Amino acid sequence: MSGRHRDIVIAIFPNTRGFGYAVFEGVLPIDWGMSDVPGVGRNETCIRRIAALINRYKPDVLLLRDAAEARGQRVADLIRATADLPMAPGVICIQVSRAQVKEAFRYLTRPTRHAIARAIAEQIPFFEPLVPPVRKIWNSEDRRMGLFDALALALTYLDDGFGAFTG
Amino acid sequence: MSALGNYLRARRKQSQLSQKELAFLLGYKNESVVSRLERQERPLTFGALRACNMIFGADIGEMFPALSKEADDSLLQRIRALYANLQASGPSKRTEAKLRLLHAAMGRLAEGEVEHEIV
Repeated sequence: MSGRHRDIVIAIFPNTRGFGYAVFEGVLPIDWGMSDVPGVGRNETCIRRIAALINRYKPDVLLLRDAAEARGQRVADLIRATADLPMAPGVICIQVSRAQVKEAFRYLTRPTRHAIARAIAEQIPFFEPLVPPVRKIWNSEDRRMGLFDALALALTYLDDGFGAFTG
Repeated sequence: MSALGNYLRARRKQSQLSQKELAFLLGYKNESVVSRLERQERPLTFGALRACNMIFGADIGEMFPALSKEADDSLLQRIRALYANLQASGPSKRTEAKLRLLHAAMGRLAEGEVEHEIV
């Protein structure tokens, strides 16, 4: 690595469906997606897939949503298990809170998750086709929102200019 | 030098193409070939490289930095070996022409190396 501008950052956002992920090299997104894991043994499958991602990209920074903010016990367990995955020396693992994400997108009048998704698509246009429509209260959440949640974690970290998170 | 070996997956996803669609464009029947190409588990053919260049409009060296560096390093070794052999042989106009060619090639490779560092 020649410097932090080439750091590999992986953001993982576990949710009830599985997890959304985004991989950045410096400020460039190089991989992203939503991994749906149905049925029993979800956490084991998620952990296996997350470990494969880490093994493939060998990140310098691993970002996770804050375990304390996860609604279900299973998701909180998954976040903790991901943080405990064996990693190369020097890898920084950071849990990013919802408040930190909102702070990074403070320029939005109402930083809802959908507004943040739209803001991300404006910043990085090739995400535009992936922005889900505004959710009606009688609909369940669009699976693509997991991807934007992960992207929001990564952009929160990158927006911070590698400062407050790592000292 | 980039941390990643290749950017095929990034380019494909940025372009909203599925692995199946890219496999079709590259002339493969099975989408798993694209998965293996993305993971650098399968060597790229000239046809696939040319197709990637045309489809994504990207420089091959930028898209496949590891492959490109490997090829450049190996070529540089061979150029140096031939250069040394020619220098050892007696001087002639033909030898001088060959040395000029190899010298220019080494210059281009050195420029490429600098570009890899900058990219």
